Amino acid sequence: MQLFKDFINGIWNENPIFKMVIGICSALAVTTAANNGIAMGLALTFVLTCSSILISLLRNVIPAKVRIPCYIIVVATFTTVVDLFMKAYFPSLYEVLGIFIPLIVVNCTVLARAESFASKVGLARATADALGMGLGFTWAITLISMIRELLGAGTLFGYRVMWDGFTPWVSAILPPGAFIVMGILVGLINMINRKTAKDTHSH
Amino acid sequence: MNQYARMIIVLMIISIASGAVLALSYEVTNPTIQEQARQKLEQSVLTVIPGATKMEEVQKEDMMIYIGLDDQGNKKGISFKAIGSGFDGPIEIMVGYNPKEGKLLGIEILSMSETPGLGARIKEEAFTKQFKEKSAEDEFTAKEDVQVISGATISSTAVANAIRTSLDKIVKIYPVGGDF
Amino acid sequence: MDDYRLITTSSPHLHSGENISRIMFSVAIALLLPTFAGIYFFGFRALSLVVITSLAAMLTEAIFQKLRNKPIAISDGSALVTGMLLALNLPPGLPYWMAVVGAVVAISLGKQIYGGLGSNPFNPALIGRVFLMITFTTPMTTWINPVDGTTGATPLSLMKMQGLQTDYAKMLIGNIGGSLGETSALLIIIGGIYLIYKGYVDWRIPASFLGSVAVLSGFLGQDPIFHLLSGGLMLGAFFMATDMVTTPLSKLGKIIFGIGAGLFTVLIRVYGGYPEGVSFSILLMNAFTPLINRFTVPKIYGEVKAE
Repeated sequence: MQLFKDFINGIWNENPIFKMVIGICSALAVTTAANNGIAMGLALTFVLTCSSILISLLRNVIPAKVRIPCYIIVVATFTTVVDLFMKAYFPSLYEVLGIFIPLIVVNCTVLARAESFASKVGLARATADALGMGLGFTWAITLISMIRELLGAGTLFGYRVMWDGFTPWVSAILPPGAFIVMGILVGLINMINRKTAKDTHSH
Repeated sequence: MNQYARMIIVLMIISIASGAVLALSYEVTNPTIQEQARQKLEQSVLTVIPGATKMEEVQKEDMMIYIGLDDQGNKKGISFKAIGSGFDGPIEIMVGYNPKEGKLLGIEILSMSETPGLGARIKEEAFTKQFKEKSAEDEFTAKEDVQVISGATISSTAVANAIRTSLDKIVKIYPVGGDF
Repeated sequence: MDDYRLITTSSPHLHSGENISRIMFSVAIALLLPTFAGIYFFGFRALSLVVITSLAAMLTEAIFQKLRNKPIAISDGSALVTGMLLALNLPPGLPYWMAVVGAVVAISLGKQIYGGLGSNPFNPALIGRVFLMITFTTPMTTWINPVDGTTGATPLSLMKMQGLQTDYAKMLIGNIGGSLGETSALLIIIGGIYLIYKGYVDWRIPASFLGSVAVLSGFLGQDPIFHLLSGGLMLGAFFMATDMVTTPLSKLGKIIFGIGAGLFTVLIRVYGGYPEGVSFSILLMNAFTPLINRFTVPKIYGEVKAE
């Protein structure tokens, strides 16, 4: 039950993008096409899960004073591994995600979970939390990128879905589109939360 | 154990382990990465030199030149990279050229970061195909002998200028009408 | 706003009998002049574009006020003015649905999202226009020539792309390609002077805006009269840079605002990637408005210089 709670926490209650609004630099920059969103999300989930597991295992070994450098080394290692493998086996994806893969190192979500969660709990809870956070990040940026791709290019995952005469809304795949789409989604999610909070009160 | 010694030892062990993991992943992926880069290069060389099936690299002065050969080993043309400064950063172009006739064989945009829907349209064939058959003596002036994409004058001009600049260097290495 | 106990406004605290809807409808009347010019030159399409954009703006305003449980105040005319201004800034051949998108964005993202009238940092009509500009660039830069209705170019893009000069008299009257309501410099000036006479527009902004454009373009070796008459400058200087909500309060602040907008306009026109820069420069100066207000707080009467 506790594990499930930890998992759901990242998916919804403390969603890194929509609720905590951390790590949004990559979320805004790469979300021009749905494929990029999924790839970036999964890359982050991998780094986050691996480093949370390792940090949770090492939590009694790492001295408090050097914990941050240790976390950074762990995170950077996994990030570089992802970077190299993506470059080798998914070159076309790598070309698009470019510098944002190495930037996972400084993605606040990863360090925040290591510092505030993984370093304090056991392996199982740390894994559940990391997976939840990673997948929470993934669905959030995939949703943003789907909307942006649909409006900005008329396609979804590269497949044409809009009608023939559709005029693409170019600004959706430009930087302003990222802010507008994300802002509207954060607003909608706050609205849903407020509604559900009211319902639980009245019952 | 002294706490400082412990700090140093833990950090060192973690760094060494990290180094080992990275070295290993690098060893595993590097051949594939190199191969990918070479393939991508070859792919674009073969696209801009019609009829070529193989390529050969030669360095002439400070330029890398890729010679395209067909199955029988006949030289079909040469290609080189031209780099222009676009609206939003560098534009890298692969240019195919036949020195014997002094004519361009075709171009391909390798990388750019122009505005989607405007400058990014330099990648479209409608724009790139106009450079085919262009002569080395042409001016490459935007709006005169090079048609620009409406709303993307800067990107279009950048492509034309980049080709002109590199072509000037190439013509010095391989004079028009000569062998290559 | 009814539940506010304390209301702070800049002095003087006398009520002149003016209210928002009176001001807004005067602006709307002044805007009718360039609108008529647009209808005269571009025909029925111009009229329907203005009507559709204004209706869309008012409808969006009403929907947002309903959603936010505020009293519906479209009768104050501010949404009407935003809609009209937006329409006057659009190419006459723009598809209707794009104009509607622009109006919805202008009111929702430009105004209501900040809390409605009086709280928006940027001019809503310009937000709508710039959104359309970066979203549908090609239709937003496809101009039609008056009278024959063929596609053509604006004097500014003719100048920038081909170095062609357009006749001054044509530009003054408005018989040129351009946005629906920006072509006739003459009628815009008349409308602007009416608003200055009524006291709703401070002459300092248009004067410093136009003045700095003339001086700077002359300084850069361009033709000042051409720059004054072309593009959206007149419409921008009289109707959009003078929006009460998004411009500085003090007299000195208004002059700084006008000079800044003129500076950006000329820089964008001469060196920028776009042929026209009036909307961008007004929005840029809108962003500076709070800063300008802070630096130009008027001296309190009777205060002695501290030394």
